[in-house]
Amino acid sequence: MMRHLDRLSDDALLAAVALEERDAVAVFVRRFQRRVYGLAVTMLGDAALADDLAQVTFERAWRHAGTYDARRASVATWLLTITRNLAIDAMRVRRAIPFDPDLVSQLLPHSSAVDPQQAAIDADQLGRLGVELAGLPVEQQRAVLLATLAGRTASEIADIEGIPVGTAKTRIRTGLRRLRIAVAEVAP
Amino acid sequence: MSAQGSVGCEQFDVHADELALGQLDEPLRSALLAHAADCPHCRSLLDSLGTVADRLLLAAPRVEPPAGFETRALSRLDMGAARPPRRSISLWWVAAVAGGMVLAGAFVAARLDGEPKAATATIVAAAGGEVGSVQLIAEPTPHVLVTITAPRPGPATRNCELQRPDGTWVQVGWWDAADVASGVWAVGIDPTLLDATAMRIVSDGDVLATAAFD
Ligand SMILES: [Zn+2]
Repeated sequence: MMRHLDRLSDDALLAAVALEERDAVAVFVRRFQRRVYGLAVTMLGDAALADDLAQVTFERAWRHAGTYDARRASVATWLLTITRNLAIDAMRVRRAIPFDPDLVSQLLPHSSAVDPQQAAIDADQLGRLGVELAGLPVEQQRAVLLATLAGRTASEIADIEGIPVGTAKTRIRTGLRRLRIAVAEVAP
Repeated sequence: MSAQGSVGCEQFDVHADELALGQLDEPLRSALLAHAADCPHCRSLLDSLGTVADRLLLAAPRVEPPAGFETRALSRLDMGAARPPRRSISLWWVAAVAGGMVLAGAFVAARLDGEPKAATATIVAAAGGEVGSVQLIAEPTPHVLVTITAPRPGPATRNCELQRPDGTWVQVGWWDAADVASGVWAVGIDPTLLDATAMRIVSDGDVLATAAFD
């Protein structure tokens, strides 16, 4: 049974989770736990908090598996938005989480090349977005990734980068808007 | 910030990035969303920024969680974290999107493609007219999947029954028409019901619609 479930596509696996197939839930957690925990710990910077938040993510996913809509996002994206939203709520309550500046460089696209296989998978998943991201000026990449993957506001990014808030805002804005071309469904 | 009252396109544009990143507080957030609901241009901007922000999450580093994570996560699900108790049966809904479009083929196709279907049939209303379709599906677990494309008004509670080859009817689950007017409903079934010859939708003893599997 487990072996069979392992072969399911992400969508089919989530459908099995929605049907309360107990083994499917285990396979689902195993398949996505590194991503979910990875985002949680990136945003929160605290292993214990991230562990808890990742568990809550899977609980939410299990409860709301029925609301997943493949037209809007992949299963991985859907799951990670749950993690992101939970982390933003947690950060509202518990602000001023110290941020490790080295983490920024780890988030940059080319740094994943330390593991070529992983980098290939990521490039594939991100698709055109990864290409466009790599094409942005590095300071815009940093601002966009700090805002999205690390959940930082413009004023926090200004602190981290040692730049004025207005500059941080402009970098986020310019970067995000340039990336829109990568997700446009049809070329204009 | 003047969050009260109506927001214009210029103000929306200033805050669109923070809105897409989930970083805005009320009441500004609601004011901006209200504007987007009425303004196709700003809605399209928000959609595309939101898609970028969401999809970039895929670039997050993958990190092995602390030892025992899987066990902790699973036991958390087992412990009292039950789904809403309203229904004792398992089901999932795909709410119809705005505009009355029922279900993009992508969803069902992505999920069911390649999975053996036991049977498919058209659902016909008792008063005549096609209502939707029903499928008996064996994988990954046996379930019946009902797609309602042309909802009919009527009592809220809809019981789904399957007929065994010996003619007996078995209720497999129910849904509330008030929840979702149209969309997809599914429930896990006993494997022996994959041989069902017919499906009917019953409410308060009245048969609202039927489907006969070939
Ligand atoms: Zn507008």
